[in-house]
Amino acid sequence: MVQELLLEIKNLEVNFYTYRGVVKALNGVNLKINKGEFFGLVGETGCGKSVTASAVLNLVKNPGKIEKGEIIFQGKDLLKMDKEEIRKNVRGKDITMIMQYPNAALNPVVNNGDQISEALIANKNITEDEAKKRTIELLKDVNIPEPEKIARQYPHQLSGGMAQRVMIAMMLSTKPSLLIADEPTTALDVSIQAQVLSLLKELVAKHKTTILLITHDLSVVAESCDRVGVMYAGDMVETGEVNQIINNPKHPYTKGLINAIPSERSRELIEIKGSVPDLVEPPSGCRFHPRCSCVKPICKKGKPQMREIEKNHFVACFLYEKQGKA
Amino acid sequence: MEELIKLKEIKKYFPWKKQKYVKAVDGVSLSVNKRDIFGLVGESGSGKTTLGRVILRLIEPTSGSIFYHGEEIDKIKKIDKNLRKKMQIVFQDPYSSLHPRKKIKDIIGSGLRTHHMVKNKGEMIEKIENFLNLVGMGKEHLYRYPHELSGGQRQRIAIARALILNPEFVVLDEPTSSLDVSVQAEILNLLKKLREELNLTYIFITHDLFLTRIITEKIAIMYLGKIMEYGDTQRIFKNPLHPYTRALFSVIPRLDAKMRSKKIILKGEIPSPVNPPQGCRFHTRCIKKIGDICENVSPPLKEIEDNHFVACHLYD
Repeated sequence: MVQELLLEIKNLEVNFYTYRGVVKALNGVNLKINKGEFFGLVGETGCGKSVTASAVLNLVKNPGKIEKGEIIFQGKDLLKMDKEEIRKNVRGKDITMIMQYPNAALNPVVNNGDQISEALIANKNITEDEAKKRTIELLKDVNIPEPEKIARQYPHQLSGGMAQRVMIAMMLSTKPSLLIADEPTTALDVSIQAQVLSLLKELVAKHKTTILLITHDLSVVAESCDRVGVMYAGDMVETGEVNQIINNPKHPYTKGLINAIPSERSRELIEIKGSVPDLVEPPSGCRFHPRCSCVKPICKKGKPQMREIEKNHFVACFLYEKQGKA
Repeated sequence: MEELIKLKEIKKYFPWKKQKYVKAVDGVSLSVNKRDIFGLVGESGSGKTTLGRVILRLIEPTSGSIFYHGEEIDKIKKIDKNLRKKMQIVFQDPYSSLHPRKKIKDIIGSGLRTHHMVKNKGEMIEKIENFLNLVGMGKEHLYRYPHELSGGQRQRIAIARALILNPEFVVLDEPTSSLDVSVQAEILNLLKKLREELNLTYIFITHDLFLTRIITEKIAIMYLGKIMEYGDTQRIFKNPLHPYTRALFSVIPRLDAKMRSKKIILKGEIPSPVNPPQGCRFHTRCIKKIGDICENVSPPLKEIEDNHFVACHLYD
């Protein structure tokens, strides 16, 4: 099957100009997402996963600045596009996003139904009655029981899981090509998390929605995604299909991450020595080298390039320099 | 094995509007052995945090008794200062549990002063330094403020503050849930090491089941203020009996595709603790419901095998 490219990020660099100095948040990130794919972006706090998402939506605000790179979405470079055009035709329409705290993202003084209808009317030139009808259908699509009742209620009357569903319904209302989900289940209990994840999977299967899932939880990615990208301190360190990353991780950081999480595999937790570096003064060369157990002199000098070491499996590490192609 | 803490029919009802109560903890009995790590597991609203605080009597139970070393403590009007010293707590969020305007030395040292455990300032600083070293930090942190530290470092400070009073028993209320996974591993390994060195007993409150398997000896799984299943950790993992436990186990995300069983996705949400379901608390979402008995009679905890208790009518 030939896969059609939906989003390609090339060499993206983002800096934040703070009083402490320049935070080098993204250090030349590359990423490809195909149509109809469920892509997981994993990493710890401060690794740049959310900044990547905001760059795609053109939401990097002062003091942040996109220094260079390309974000090619459906053949067009979003970074060269007019901001107003992005606002009108891309953000909230072709690319939508759900957030970690749905209750903070919903308007507390507008009822759930009207919030969704509003998005429909703004984007789709339909009458209010049609929008209302469509809203109920959307709520049904995300498995909300009694959609008419929920539509009349306000966000504070919903539980976390329900509010997240309302968010998903709203974000699907414009039939986006790409749905970005930024830690959508982090604030939810496991049983509710399972409901929301199975809903997202259903969307990929049924509506051919492409989803970019941002999370810190590797097991969530293992359960739901097709492909994964692992980020560390502003660098993409490894990408590949889910089973390649989970069962045959190559980058020392990915290996460390898998050993550090409590999972069905672990008998004890193996910590990654040291802590995430301050990105005002990131380590030279490979940003992981101060914590890496396989560090070589070359790691301190140059930045390792992404290399394909097996089909679709890329890793940026000097250990694999001789294998694979750049 | 010596029993350190025993709870009998602990209830905690919080008043709620007219004549109503939030039944946060509703009849919990359990016992914690000395030097064990006891895991208290449940989803939000299950009452695990309330129970943890009731054990320390940070909040007073509505009814029931707490035994410490076999002696009942909840009948004493004001908790004995010496007893207070023996029982400590580490809170979930290290960003709000440390005083933002106090230096690390004052945060860790205030307990020492309250309990008159040091004679002079020099001795106090020396003791604080020792404990900073114990939790993997150094004397360079003495005069810093919490905002200068990372989440993991703050949690280490909170642990040092709890341990400096030489407690026997510490309640750890989700001590790692606000931390990154690599930091979480560090803190958990530290807590395990400290238990060995200082002969501690922990109650570990968490929502992460795999975590309990790695570090605890015994667990209790709570749902809406009641214990559903309770006993030896390895035994429960090998053979979960309660339908709720089984559902929970089935939905935790797993790394290996081979290890995934069919997901039992629970319908709906946890009912309100103001008006919990009659009979078995779980019957409204249970897929194994056998009939009227589940709706009417609350099942008692029953020992099914050695050290493995379940509250479910399926095993009557």
